[in-house]
Amino acid sequence: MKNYNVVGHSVRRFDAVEKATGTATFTTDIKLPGMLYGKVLRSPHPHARIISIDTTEAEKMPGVKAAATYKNTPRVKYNGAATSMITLPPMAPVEDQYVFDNVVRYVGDEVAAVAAISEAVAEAALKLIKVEYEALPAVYDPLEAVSPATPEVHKECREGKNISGDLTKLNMGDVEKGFAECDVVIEDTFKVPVQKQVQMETQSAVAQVGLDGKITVWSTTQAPHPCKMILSKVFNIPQSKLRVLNPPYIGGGFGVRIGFSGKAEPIAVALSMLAKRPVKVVYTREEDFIASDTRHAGYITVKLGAKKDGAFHCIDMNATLNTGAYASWGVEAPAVLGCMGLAVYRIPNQNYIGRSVYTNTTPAGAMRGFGNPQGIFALESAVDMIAEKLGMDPVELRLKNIIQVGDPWVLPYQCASTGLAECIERGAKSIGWERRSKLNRPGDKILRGIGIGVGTHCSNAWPWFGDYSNAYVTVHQDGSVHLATGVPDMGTGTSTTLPQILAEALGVELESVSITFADTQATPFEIGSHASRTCYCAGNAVVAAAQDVRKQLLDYAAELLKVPPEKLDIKNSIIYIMGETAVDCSCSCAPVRQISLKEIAWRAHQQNKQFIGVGRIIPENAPPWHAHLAEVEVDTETGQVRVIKVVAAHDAGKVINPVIVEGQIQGGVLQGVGYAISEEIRYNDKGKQLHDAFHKYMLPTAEDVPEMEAIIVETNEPTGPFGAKGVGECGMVPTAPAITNAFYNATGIRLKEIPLTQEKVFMALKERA
Amino acid sequence: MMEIFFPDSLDELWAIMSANPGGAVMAGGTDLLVRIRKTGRKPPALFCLERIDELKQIRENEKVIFIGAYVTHQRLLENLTVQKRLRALWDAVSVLGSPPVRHSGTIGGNLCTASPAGDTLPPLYVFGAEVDIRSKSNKRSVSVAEFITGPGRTSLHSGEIVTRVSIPLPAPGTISRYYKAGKRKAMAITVASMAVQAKKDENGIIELIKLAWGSAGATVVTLPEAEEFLRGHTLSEERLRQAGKLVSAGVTPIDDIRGSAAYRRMVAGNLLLRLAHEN
Ligand SMILES: Cc1cc2nc3c(=O)[nH]c(=O)nc-3n(C[C@H](O)[C@H](O)[C@H](O)COP(=O)(O)OP(=O)(O)OC[C@H]3O[C@@H](n4cnc5c(N)ncnc54)[C@H](O)[C@@H]3O)c2cc1C
Repeated sequence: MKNYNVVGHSVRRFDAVEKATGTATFTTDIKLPGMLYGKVLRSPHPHARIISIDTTEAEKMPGVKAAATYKNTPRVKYNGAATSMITLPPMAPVEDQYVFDNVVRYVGDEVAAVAAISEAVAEAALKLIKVEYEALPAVYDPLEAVSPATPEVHKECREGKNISGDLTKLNMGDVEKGFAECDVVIEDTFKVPVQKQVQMETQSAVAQVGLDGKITVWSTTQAPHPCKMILSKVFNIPQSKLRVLNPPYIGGGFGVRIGFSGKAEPIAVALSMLAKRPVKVVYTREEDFIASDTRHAGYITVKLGAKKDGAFHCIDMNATLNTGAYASWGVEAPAVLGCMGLAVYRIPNQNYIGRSVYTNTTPAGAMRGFGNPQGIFALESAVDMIAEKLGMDPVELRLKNIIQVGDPWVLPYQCASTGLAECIERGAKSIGWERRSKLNRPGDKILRGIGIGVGTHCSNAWPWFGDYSNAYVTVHQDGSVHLATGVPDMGTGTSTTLPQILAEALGVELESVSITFADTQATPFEIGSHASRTCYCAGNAVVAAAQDVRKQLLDYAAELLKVPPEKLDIKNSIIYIMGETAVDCSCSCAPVRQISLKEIAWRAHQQNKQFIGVGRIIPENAPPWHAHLAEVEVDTETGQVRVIKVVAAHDAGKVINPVIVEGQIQGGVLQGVGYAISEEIRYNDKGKQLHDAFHKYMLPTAEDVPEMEAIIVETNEPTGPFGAKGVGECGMVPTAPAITNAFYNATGIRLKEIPLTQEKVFMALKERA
Repeated sequence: MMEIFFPDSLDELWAIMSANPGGAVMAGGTDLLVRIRKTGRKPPALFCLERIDELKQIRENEKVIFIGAYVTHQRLLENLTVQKRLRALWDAVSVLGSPPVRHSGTIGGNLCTASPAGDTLPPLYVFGAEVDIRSKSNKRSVSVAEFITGPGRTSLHSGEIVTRVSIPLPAPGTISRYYKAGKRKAMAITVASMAVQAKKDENGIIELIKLAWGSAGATVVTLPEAEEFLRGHTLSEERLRQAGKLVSAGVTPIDDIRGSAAYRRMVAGNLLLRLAHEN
């Protein structure tokens, strides 16, 4: 693979010093003169109609400056997820939510909000709001919610009772005929839990409404431009008068705020308009747990058929996901689940139907992997089950069936690169696959096992959804270069990798590049960070902008150096004639054979000119690939499962910054470990979230981190910037099935529901004994 | 508003306590501050023990170790006597909370919180620890079993504090252990736990055995019938399994989001099986 000057190197992150020293600013740090604090009154009921609501007493309280309810806020239906701004016809986005409504649909749903001079006053005022509810019947399980006897969470459901938006249907070949031709068929249903992003910074926004009607919103959104567009729609304000920005950092995201951050932005804006003062809304961790999007829970059925020789021949999958009280990304999650599930293996006959269903639970939306980890848990469990039936080794069976470049698949773009076979082979070698099934002796109380899970993902949402990127590159009068892009850096390293791409594409030194990001006023439209797209899409726009400005520079230099522009190149911020070595020539030797960016920028300035590049791209799409191999330990006396080691091998195309990519993989793996063995939000029979705090929701702690090895398999993806593909979400896609397959290898018990909590495991072991 | 006091000595503490009725004693605050935040009920004053040297001392003679109430879990973890001779207590503090919690939380606080899941309690039961209590005008000592009267309840009277815990050092050759089943490795409230102190004769016959379970009832559970069943026998897997059945039947755990009563019962019994592998 080609060697580059800046790309492919683990340069120090641009935000490293700021973050390490605590000077980096986040929304929660913002403090404006006259700023008020907003607090939200939330529904104690899973489903109820508000008969009456009275804020008079609250408003009388000293220090209270405004109270908002459905009565004095816009009656405009919206969907706070960016889907509402990028869904393409003939599909229509599901818009099913108001800032405040007179019906509440889950415990935690917003009823009212108060702005006051302090959080304490605002909180005290909430207690003075009088609300009379009429309780309505509620439903919590998606399979129950579609049955005739259950209550309607929303009325407008075109595909059937409580079904949110459109179904996803995918098809290739002939499934009925296909199964008839199979020698071995397995079928099972798998259940996946509610997982929470648990990003470090809770949902937050500060809104400032100017006297001229302009509104500025600093917030934790990971999609500032779509956030601005949705605010514009809800409050009926021209987009040109709205500025949404990160300040500039966000404490993580993992998908929870691709659009609004819960309702922090619209509530801050509504209160600020009423109070005519800036208002800050910061969710508590409990609010974040119960009232911002979660991962979709649900049921996935897989029927998989193969020929005797192990060749997969037919698959039928369906998924019913629980999207909770509002759609958010409810239409898209089952779509990604199906598309990515069907794209891993070469199977001539395929069928998939996916749907999301409303229930009276916390809305589910996007979370890292976006449906894919759910589907892959089911699919990869099924693959191990059929391997056993076929009497084949799970690694061998996968190597035999995985998609190769050029194979037909259901996705609307080409598979132009895959390093999956290498991921599997290197992963298996590293975990010591040959030790598998030889780890336990009769009578052992601690059982060990090794398992594998593989998968793919996307590098953006095109062509299912609108997806395009823009970037500006400006050469300053001293030759330093500025990049403006609308994507955020939510810890993912964007503010380092995009400058790396720019420096490489333009031929300048990284030190001369600076970046403005995540500000709708200073950057052109960008969707933001989702679908593992940021580096791939924004990176391609940066390359385009760099090429644009490079052409301007070379044309200008060509006249000065009196050679055609095709003969010129830029390296280390010096424009030189190709074939002649670029030397840092400070003497005034004639004739001029090279010119630095500094000189040329200054000359241009003196001739009333600046070099400004614009990049506009519509991305293609590309599949990243991954294989995870896990070793687990099961304590048969307590049911405790410990993950000992995870090897995570990833094909992310050309890696722009290896350390950043490894960090993404490691973080993803740990979320995958939690998904597999401990994380879940369950509900009691009154619709109350039982796991609504750090001591109840079982994230893996530092001491639970297994030994991890990230293996990077580089391929060259022709459609990506310098060959890069997406990687952000991939780290947790196949982790859970690697762990559950290892669990099966250890115990011989196939648990079809995650997480593998100790009690579930204990009871299963006991049942078998 | 809470007034916060930092007395330098017990005498100063008594004076502050009588001048500020209704105030609360604070050691590391890892239980107290959580409780205040959760209930919203702020005591009018906090009496912080952190500057009273007397409460921070660890002293020992041949027979007994005296642990000041303000000794943190981290210090117990680092103490060689605890490590070598009170292994069950050492095991317990090594899985208590997480490093930050162990650096703030104290043994006195763990005792006074009297949680059924308090990790130091089962070891203190099996070691037969004594709790030394003082007030302005009085001094007394009670056994840990007398000290803890129920979930979250102790026999402390108002105006009294715990000053230290005295633990008789087990005879050489005694083994002790603490096993904890939690939902993860750190920051996990115990789902079921067991402390054991045992001494075998040269033939491996149990001469002495003390057992106590955490998170298995309203407070620490002891089961003399299980101890009786094991005394005079070797710890064969079979004997332990039978004893485990007595345990599962004898403990009285509850259902909560961390685990069902049924699960806790079975695990409380199973933890006993680990003894088959200790010597
Ligand atoms: C994140 C987290 C994890 C935790 N994990 C565990 C765990 O795994 N296992 C476990 O057992 N506990 C755990 N705890 C609970 C707690 O840390 C322990 O109980 C700790 O020992 C309490 O000690 P403290 O010094 O902080 O007590 P404090 O909070 O200061 O006091 C607790 C109570 O005891 C009273 N008190 C304290 N000292 C005295 C005294 N000398 N005399 C009279 N009254 C006194 C206080 O008034 C208060 O009512 C955890 C707590 C947190 C926050």
